[in-house]
Amino acid sequence: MSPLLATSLGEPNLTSILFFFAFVSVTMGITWWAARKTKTASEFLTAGGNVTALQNGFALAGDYMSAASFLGIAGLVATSGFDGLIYSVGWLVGWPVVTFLIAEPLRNLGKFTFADV
Amino acid sequence: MTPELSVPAVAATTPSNESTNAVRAVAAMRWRMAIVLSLLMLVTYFAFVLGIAFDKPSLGTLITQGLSVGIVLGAGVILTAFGLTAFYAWWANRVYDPALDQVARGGK
Repeated sequence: MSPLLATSLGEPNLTSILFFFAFVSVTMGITWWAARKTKTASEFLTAGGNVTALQNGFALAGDYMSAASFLGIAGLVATSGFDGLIYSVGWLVGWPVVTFLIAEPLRNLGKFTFADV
Repeated sequence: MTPELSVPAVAATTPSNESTNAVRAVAAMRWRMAIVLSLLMLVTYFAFVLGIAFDKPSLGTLITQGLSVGIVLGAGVILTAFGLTAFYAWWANRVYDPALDQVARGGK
């Protein structure tokens, strides 16, 4: 076993805390601004159809290339080897299956959200 | 209490058997494609999982330093997912949406 490395994990760090609050404030600000523009159910659920496929793709990619992927899966593969790889490949495999079987039939029905489906 | 519609009104608004069958045929075509692509995806993925479960040593053989066969195969499964989705998008644009438009316009 490798020797324990000195780490500052778990100790409060002012810069990190300030970054955290700044990030949350900016996110809340954007949410508040967007909420003022949302009027109809269609706008609420699917941005009134105004979000292009490319924009939505980027948003979904941002959702999933997050701490869960970079930290969680990296750690999983590091500790469990190939078994961890199953998880990182698996969620991405589920995406097309959901698209084919669930999202596409709903495409014509009207009220749905992309990320929910 | 629902008011009763007259027979001519019901007949005028009920879709004909022919158009219903046409819609059903297009829907069935889409379901066939969706199921085939889903099965392809799942077979690829579970082949990968079974390979990991039963044959780790050969998956561990190194191609170059730091790169093993298993990682390449994992990337291959991900690329397969991309490819199947891209194929479905192409097929939907080329075949499915036109068929749907044609049925909506009242054709066969």
